[in-house]
Amino acid sequence: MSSLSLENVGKKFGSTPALAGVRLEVEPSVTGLLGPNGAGKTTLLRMAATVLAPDSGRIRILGRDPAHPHERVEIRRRLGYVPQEPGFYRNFTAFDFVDYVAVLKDIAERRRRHDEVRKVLDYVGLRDHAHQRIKALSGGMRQRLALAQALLGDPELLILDEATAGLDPEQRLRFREMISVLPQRPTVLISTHQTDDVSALCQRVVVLIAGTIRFDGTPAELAATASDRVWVDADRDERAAVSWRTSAGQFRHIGERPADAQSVTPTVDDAYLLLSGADISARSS
Amino acid sequence: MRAVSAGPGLAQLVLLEGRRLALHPLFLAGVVVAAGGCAAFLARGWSTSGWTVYAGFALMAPFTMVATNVVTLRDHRADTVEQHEALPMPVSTRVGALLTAILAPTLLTVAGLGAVTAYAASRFALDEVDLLVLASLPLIMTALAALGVALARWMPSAFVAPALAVAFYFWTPGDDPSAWRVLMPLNSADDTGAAVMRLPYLLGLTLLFAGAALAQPQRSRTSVLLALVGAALVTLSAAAVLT
Amino acid sequence: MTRWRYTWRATHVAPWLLGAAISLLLALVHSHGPVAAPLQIGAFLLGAGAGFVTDDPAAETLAPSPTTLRARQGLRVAGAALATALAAVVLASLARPSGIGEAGALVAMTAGILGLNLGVSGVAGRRRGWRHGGLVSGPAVLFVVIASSALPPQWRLLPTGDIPGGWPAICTRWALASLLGLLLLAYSLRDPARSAVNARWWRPTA
Repeated sequence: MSSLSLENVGKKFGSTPALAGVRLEVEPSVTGLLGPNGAGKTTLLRMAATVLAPDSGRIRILGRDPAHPHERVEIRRRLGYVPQEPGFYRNFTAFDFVDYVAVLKDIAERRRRHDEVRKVLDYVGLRDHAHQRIKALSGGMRQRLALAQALLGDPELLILDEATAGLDPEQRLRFREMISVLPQRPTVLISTHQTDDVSALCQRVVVLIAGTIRFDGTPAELAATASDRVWVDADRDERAAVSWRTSAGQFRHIGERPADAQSVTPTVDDAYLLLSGADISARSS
Repeated sequence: MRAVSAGPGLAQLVLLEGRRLALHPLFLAGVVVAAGGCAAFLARGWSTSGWTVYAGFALMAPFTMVATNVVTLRDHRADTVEQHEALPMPVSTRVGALLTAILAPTLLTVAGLGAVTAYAASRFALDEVDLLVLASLPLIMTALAALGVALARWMPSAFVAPALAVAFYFWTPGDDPSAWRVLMPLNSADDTGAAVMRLPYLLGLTLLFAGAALAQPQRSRTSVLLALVGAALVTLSAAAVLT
Repeated sequence: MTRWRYTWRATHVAPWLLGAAISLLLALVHSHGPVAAPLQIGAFLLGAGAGFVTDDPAAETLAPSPTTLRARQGLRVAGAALATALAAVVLASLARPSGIGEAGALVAMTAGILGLNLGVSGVAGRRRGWRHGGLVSGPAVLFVVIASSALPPQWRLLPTGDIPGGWPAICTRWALASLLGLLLLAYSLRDPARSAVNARWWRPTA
């Protein structure tokens, strides 16, 4: 049974379409959602987190219908969500904030709740800062605090919207480690701009562009879509869809490879840029 | 360091803020109230409902005060205080631009008020006091709008300006006959002497509040000068009204 | 109890407390003057302060918790309503109104202004994010009350001179205003995951 199922889902904000006819089945695994700004990633994740209703289509989360109040509450008991811009009560301590979320998650028994709070704070490495006020925590610590509250109650579905934004490389590595070894092995749906996070963490990747799904497969399959379409040259090639100068001083080109150019092994980044770059070119032309 | 630096950037900022203020929903709410006051006068004539023109335009001032307060507080709301402090344009210049931008809603008010006054003068006999009282309205607006900016700078809470607007509204129609009543910004004077002295009084309040808005932890000559001139005008004119 | 404690700490109560303090001060200072003005100002300040209680910087983070938006905000609103009722009684006893009619009208006015503020605050929070309710509600309610002066005397929220229908009429219209505000609030606190299209009774293939 899939953890999340979207059937022909559409959403508009005013006259601007955010999602159009999205069909997606998410199985228990770590799934990465890639896409440029404004592609509809946050809208999709907010729907998956029962924070937003679709205008059309049907959603089932953990086998339940979020449109039904009782089923929605059941979903929410088994869901963890880190929004794109997590908000906090700055005068609370880290412990108090997570404890408050635990209260709202219906973890009533005090001792059990406090154990659970300590466990998630430990897990994200905030044990030593548990009694510090949130306003005194660094940006990275707040991001980890947001993850801690999402992990309360061992969720079966974990939705992370750009949860690695603002983390330094060490914290990102630590984050990957945390997600990959979560004890309950929940379904994780993570939106990110970091293609290396996707390569390192996700068993599956979905590319969303302009409100529609353009790719759905494994990271290796995504990288393979750029086979024979990536080449390196000393000079800029005007025929390339996307090109940039690498740290080695050469230009890396993506697009329709000229016959005389030597192709190189593509990465997820290349394939993603090819997909999104082609879309940008098509829209600008 | 100069408190306020002039330049094309400042002019652009004044235009931007002026447009923002003139289109602010709270200023537009004030315009609706003023239009209501004018409509009552048009329906019933000057002798019975001329006061509604004054009341309508006077009530624009508290709405504009809340509008300038909300606009000044937007950095606090959006958590962009630090971000904007890193800009080359100093805080005092940005506040100066906002204070100058108050001219936009004020000029619109002067235009509307001028049209209504011209119409009323062509149909009815307006006396000296009527004209002086109407002339004080744009100054009430500038004084309260500057107060809105000053409140936002020194009491950055979205509650304070609306609370003050409520206080001004409810104290206005009081029946207290004492001369102190005339010193409340929204009240009008009943005799020529008080009506004349209210003009420098309101101008003084404007300068005083503008000085307070521009004040900084570091010494600022412009703000001190504005505040001193304002305080002198307020003191002298208030003394003249009360005696 | 823990929920109440945390909700209290998470609620932006400073504006309400400031409003209550100013109202109390006004009632004490004006204890020998006319009754209406300080109590009217008090009602507005308490109402405008209560408009801030729906502001919630962590709303998006807490949105998918099993405790619904209505339950989370309901606690805040209940606290504000209770505190405002107590404050109104204290203010009325300090100001000593002329009779039960005037006292009732002033209490009804406080309830009306509170209801309108909560309603506007809820709608603003729903539409613009739960950080803007308090910012919008106070000025909006002041505008509504001033604009009601253009209505026929029997519908004005703050009538001047003789009141058609007397105190009971005032009580009725403020009670209606309060009801309108509470309906707006209830509407704004619908669960964000609920929509007409997605509702089970609406979907033809359910």
